[in-house]
Amino acid sequence: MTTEAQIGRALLRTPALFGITALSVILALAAACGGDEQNQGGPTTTPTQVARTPTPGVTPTVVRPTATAQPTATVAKPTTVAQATPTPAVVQVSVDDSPSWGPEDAAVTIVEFSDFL
Amino acid sequence: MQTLPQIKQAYEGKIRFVFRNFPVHGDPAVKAAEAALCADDQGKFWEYQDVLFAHQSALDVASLKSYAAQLGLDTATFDQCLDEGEKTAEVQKDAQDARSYGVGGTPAFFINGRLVSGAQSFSVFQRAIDAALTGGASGTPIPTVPSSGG
Repeated sequence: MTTEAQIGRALLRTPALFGITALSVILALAAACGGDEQNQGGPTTTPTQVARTPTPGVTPTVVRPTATAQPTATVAKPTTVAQATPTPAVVQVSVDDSPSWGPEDAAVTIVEFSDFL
Repeated sequence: MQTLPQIKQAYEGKIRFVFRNFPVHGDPAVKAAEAALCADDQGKFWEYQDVLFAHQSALDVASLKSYAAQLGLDTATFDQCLDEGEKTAEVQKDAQDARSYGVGGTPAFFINGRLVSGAQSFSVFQRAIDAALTGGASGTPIPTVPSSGG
């Protein structure tokens, strides 16, 4: 009580000395807080995983994470259908009441265009 | 053996065969086509067609009428049909349709709507017909639609 009280009273009596002391304390606190903020980002080292081995006496194997492929946008490529032989076009041929033989509901209709020469 | 009889024998009951005219060899061919349709009015188209194919060098009007008589047709009716051009419009319509379908020569065949040009062998028709019967690429059955004005 004696020495500290005396120093306190001395500081109160000399405002300039008190101001310097207070500023020093503030700067020290600020420096301490700044250091904490830099560490808030977490560890910057690459995390590793240690494979747990159920068998005692076996040296743990360190498994390093491998780089994973970044998801890329997939673009559908146009596909071309190879055709060995071109398919002839289908024509809707009218038959009217032209001469014919065979059942009218036959699965296959053949229409011939011809002349007699 | 000719192709058409082979087709008829192999696929009897399974296919329908339709004949349409496309006279590309001048007036005699046109008149022969009309005569065949006149014979069709009396139910003798296919028989008359066989006679025409057997006498392709003699298709004048007199000969056409004589062929009808040989087949036992009513010659008065036949002659009137031929002389008055009762089938002229029908033959013209056939030819017009043939051109619109892309037919460029005779004979031309549409098997379920797919064009087969020229006088092909039986095996060619066999492949096309078999494919059409099984619904293959060469022939998906399609309905035939009557054309206007026919």
